[in-house]
Amino acid sequence: MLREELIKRQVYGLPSDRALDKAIDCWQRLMDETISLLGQLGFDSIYQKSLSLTRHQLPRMALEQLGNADTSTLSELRAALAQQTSADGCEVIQTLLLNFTAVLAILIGESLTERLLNVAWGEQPVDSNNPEQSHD
Amino acid sequence: MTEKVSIRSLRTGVPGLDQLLGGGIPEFSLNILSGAPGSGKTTLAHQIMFGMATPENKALYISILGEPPVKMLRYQQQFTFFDPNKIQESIHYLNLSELILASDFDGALSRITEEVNRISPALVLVDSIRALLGLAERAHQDEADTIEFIQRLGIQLSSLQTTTLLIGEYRSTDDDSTSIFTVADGVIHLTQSLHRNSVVRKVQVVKMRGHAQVPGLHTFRIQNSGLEIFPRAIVLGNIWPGPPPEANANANANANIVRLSLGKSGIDDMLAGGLPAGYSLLVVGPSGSGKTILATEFLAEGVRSGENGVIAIFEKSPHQSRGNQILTPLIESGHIGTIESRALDLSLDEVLHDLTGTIKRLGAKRVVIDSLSGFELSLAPEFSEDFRSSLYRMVAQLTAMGVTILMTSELEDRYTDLRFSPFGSAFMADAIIVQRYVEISSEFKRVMSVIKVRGSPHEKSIRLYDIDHTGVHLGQLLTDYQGIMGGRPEWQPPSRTPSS
Repeated sequence: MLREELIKRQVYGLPSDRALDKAIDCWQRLMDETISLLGQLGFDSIYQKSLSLTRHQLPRMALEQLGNADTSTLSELRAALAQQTSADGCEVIQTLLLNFTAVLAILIGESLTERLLNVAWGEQPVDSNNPEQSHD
Repeated sequence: MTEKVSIRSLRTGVPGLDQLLGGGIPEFSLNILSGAPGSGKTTLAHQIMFGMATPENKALYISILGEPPVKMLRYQQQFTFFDPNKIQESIHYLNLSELILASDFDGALSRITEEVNRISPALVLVDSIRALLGLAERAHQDEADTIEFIQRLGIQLSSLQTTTLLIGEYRSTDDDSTSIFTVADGVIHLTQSLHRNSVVRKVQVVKMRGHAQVPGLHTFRIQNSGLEIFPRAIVLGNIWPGPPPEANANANANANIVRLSLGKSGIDDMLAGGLPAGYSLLVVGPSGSGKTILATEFLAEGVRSGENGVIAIFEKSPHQSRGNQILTPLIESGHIGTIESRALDLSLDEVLHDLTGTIKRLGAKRVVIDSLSGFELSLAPEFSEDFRSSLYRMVAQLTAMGVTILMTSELEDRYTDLRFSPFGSAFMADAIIVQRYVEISSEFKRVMSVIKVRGSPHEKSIRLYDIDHTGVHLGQLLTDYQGIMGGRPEWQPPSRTPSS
């Protein structure tokens, strides 16, 4: 999936000392673009659904407190991730990104979701036929 | 020397709309796109936006408690005009639901201004203005405040050199509560009506300051590609391009008439040399009398003479019409264009739009409508109820293009009265050929006669004819019979000259 490829390229394999900051920055930029396109209410509803999926997939992480505060700031997310190791925090963001974009793709389509990711992260579209771009 | 300001027209790219708007949307104008829920406003707004937006001329779509953006994007991308690559590059969205729900109108206006300044869009769309005004009323602001808000919005957006489209759920532009129509420079109103279980969609450009818009209601259809508008055919001037009826007496005038062969010399002879170019010929007869074969030969003869043609098939299925041995190779070779429809909710203008488009594309000179009975059935009840008027407009429009038309019409054999058209439409045909069955010697025989050729002499006899897979074959004149059109001719032996 090109969407997953884009996410991996942004948040996987980063140096551990700045991995979490970079992952949060990716989330911030995607959040801004999504709010701009769908409004705060649209973003919040998709965020809640993707949080629910993430909690199911990562039961060992303490994520219960997420989703109760104002999502327009990242304070809640930062506070939750502060209790994790950097690697765990990155995993939470990565899973959240995958779930969020999966829900988004179901609602507005893969192409528009990929477009949003490209705009948010200043990426050129991924060419699935180009092995140079593959991180698998 | 002072120069008058020139208002540039921005082409929307929506098929048929720019023609109605008098060229396009006036630059920097404030327009309202209104209509009842489900009338196609949001789709038209998106189609205009995707058609006009470029990286140099961006568009900003502002959602104000209209359709939720997620749903809007979900549904709008079903249309082929929706290009995801334009999102956040040429097209930007702004959702103001939260501000509006908090009745923060000043905040909404400044947010719009801020975003317009940031993006510098050439086109701004606001969806929906009705929701905005409704909230304003509920917030106990009086109407003057809301109108003032619209005016301020209009002035600010014009000053920022943007063209604005306000989308609103208004069933009518006559509604007293909708004084925002007064403020707007342009109003485009969409309607849909249900008549005998058939839905007809119409668009009206109620006003467009600075432009000569096309008045009246025009039908449109929403398809995968979006809206397609069919501007109403307007009859201008004399619909008969041939010589006027009074020229009939002048035999010299006939010498100058260009005539088209119908593909059978005998039938051409009956028409005094062929059908005058630009005429409409009505071929009427009962089922199986050979009307379609005659029409097909008319087209085939045109192709032999280097004239392309178009056939509108309403009666037979595409499979049946493609089985026509004369027609099929001509269609496959691209000399004959086809308009095939078995829908039952067409508008005359839609049919005419397809016909004129195909005529222009092929440079066609000959057109066949097969048949008027099927054509009437294919029209939505609203149009078929006034079929004579619809037919009149169609014939007028086509003959004005200089094409020669052959129309077939099913007419059941009635031997007690002599009719030439089931629709009372014979008057608008320039020429009429009638086909009938008659009983001779306990056999059904086919006969035909030329009833009328406007402004031209023609044979008045009744001829036997037959049809087979190669076409129409004329037979002998029925000179020794009487009561032929009554269906039961009686043989009248020629009176013998007394021998001397």
